Amino acid sequence: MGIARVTWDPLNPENPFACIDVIVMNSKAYIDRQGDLGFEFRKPIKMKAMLDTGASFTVISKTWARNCKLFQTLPDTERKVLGTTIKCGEHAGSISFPGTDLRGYDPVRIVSADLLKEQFSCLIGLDILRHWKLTFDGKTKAVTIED
Amino acid sequence: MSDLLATETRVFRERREEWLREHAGSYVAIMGEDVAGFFDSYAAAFQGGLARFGSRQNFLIEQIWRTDPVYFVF
Repeated sequence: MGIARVTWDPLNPENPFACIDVIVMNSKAYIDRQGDLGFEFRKPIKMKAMLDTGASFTVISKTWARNCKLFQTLPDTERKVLGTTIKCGEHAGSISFPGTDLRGYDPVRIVSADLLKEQFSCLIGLDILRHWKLTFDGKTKAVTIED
Repeated sequence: MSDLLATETRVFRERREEWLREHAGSYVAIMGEDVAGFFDSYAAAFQGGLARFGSRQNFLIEQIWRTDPVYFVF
């Protein structure tokens, strides 16, 4: 079982979100096969992801999906999101949580979209959150994540 | 929609009703007109697709439901 702690102050107007560091990249199985063919990949970059109980899937911005060259498994298609439609693609990638001992997910479905919450490149949705036990301590403004 | 995976999307749409009878809820991996099989999870479909098609080209993974998925982002 892994555990992680992140701070969250929902009353802080500068940053009222619960975030965790993530690394999103292609699946190891895909990278291994591409490596055999002589392709190279950029080094993965750590980014902030928001824990979003309102997102049904983990979402990454289209810019990041292109930058990471994520393997696409569903074409960019207009999808209904919050009563409007935006272009979403689906990708098979991997996600890990550096600095914690939470287990990573590889391969995992990642939706790419031009995010409505523009200050984030990644939202951790219910497909991953459903594997976690999240506890919020309002006094210490700490979220504990156990998997 | 871009041309990426256009053939695979057409194949899925054409055969969805047929597949719904025996594979509702399963995941299917498709490259061109070629179907890698039906799988219990997205991860298994990706592994199955890689094993069958390799990694040179994108392949489609779709879950077999009558309606297209709706993403909720609040």
